[in-house]
Amino acid sequence: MLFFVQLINGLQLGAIYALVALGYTMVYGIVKLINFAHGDLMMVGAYLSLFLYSSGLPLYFALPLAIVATSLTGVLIERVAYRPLRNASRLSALITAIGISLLLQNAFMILFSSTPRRFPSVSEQLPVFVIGTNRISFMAVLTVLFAVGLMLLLTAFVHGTRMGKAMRAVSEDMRAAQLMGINVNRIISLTFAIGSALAAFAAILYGFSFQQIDPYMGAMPGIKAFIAAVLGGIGILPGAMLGGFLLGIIESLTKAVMPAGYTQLADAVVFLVLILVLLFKPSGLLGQTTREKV
Amino acid sequence: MTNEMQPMLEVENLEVFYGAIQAIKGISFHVMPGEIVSLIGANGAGKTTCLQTISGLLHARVGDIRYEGQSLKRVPPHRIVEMGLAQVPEGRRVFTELSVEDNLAMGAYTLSDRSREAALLEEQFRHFPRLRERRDQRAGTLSGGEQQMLAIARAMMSAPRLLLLDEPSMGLSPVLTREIFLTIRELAKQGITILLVEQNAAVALRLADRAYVLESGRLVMAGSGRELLRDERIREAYLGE
Repeated sequence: MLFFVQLINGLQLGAIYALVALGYTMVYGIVKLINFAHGDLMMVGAYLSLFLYSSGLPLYFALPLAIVATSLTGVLIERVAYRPLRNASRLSALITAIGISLLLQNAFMILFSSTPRRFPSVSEQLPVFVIGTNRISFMAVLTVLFAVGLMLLLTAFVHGTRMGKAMRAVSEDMRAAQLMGINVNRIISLTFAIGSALAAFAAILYGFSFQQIDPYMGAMPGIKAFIAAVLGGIGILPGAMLGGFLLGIIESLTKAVMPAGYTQLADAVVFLVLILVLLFKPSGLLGQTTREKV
Repeated sequence: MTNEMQPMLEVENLEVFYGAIQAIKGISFHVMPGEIVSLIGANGAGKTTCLQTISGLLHARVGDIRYEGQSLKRVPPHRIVEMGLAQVPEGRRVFTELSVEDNLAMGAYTLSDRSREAALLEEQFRHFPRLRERRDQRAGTLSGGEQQMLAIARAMMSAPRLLLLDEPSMGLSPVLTREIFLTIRELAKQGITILLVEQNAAVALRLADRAYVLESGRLVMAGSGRELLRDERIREAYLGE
């Protein structure tokens, strides 16, 4: 029965990875940049949520506000740090992304200190499901539902709206999109806005699930979400979701089978997944090997 | 028609660089309203660079480009399309992941009037019945000739007054090339001004009212299409005779 509990834990964790991975994959799809600061935007979202809530705002107001603020932070980062490097080498942009990541971590450490903070708890007010001898928190269910719901919403946006289609057009061929009269800068800003908002959603679900936040909380989930995006096939929305859930489950189950004291090895297993994917299916589970038509 | 005599497009003393390499070395030419003008030249002569600079994808270091009297120098590419200047890029560049109909919708991205868009879509489908049959198909599944038709139709969806075409015959069989050039002539008859870039000098000169010859970044010859077709040097260098 331990297996069942760990599976639920894995899904809950995976949902958070999946939301962060969606942002990674969207940004990569549009500007071909691995935005290593993306995990830290999740941390920004968590602190903003906590800060706004502690300043006396009710949760239902503080959280949406934090999501909007995180979204704007992501747009601002693109504007200030990545846009000037749009035509520079990919490596320059990548190093800048790492720089932004360090900047965010250290800025929040100075602002809020490195001591972990307690995130407001809502689980006491939520029901608990009991299946046999297992207790499943409503938060776990909610987290998974939120992640899947947001992914479906995003897919509908990208396939069903004019702006979403423009986003796919820019992602496939930026120059051709410009020749269609698409304002590419606006589409890129929109992409960062959506990706960062999803990171803030992930942050809130993370906070409610694990109760603790600190300035470095984004680093490890950020890297794992990146692995999730690669596992599913970078640039592919359902791939990010699949990769996120798979990775969460792999991590949880590994923790369950490892002897006590060795649970840290679960992280190593996750990285092993990345190595295996890159070795055997670099385009990811849902990715196709690109065929260029001449 | 008060500005009948004003060129639709004026390129003046244009110089374009890729880093330290100069691709366009000071060229000047113009296109009058209603004309079909061809720019011919070998691979690497600077034809594509020239069109990309007109569309705002590349920036001139020296010189100016004026469209209907207005300088395009600091105008971003999407605004240029809004002004009525569209381009069919080299290699078609259709959005392979999008359906044929969505590709056409992207062409009309600058239009805010949905009923106008619907009318333009209908017009493209009338021109290219094949695209209507394949409207829900992914553009990547089309043949080369169909993709070229889609690329032209897509550019026409912004209702341009000036259409730039970059190597529309590239990779097409002689039969398809003929079909595409008939289409271009058709568009010109509807009053659309055409600037065409081609390696296939024979078809390009036959179609053109006037033509320019571009050689390693410089214009070396100009004249009516018929004149250039008869020119000894052109026959030898570009028509393989």
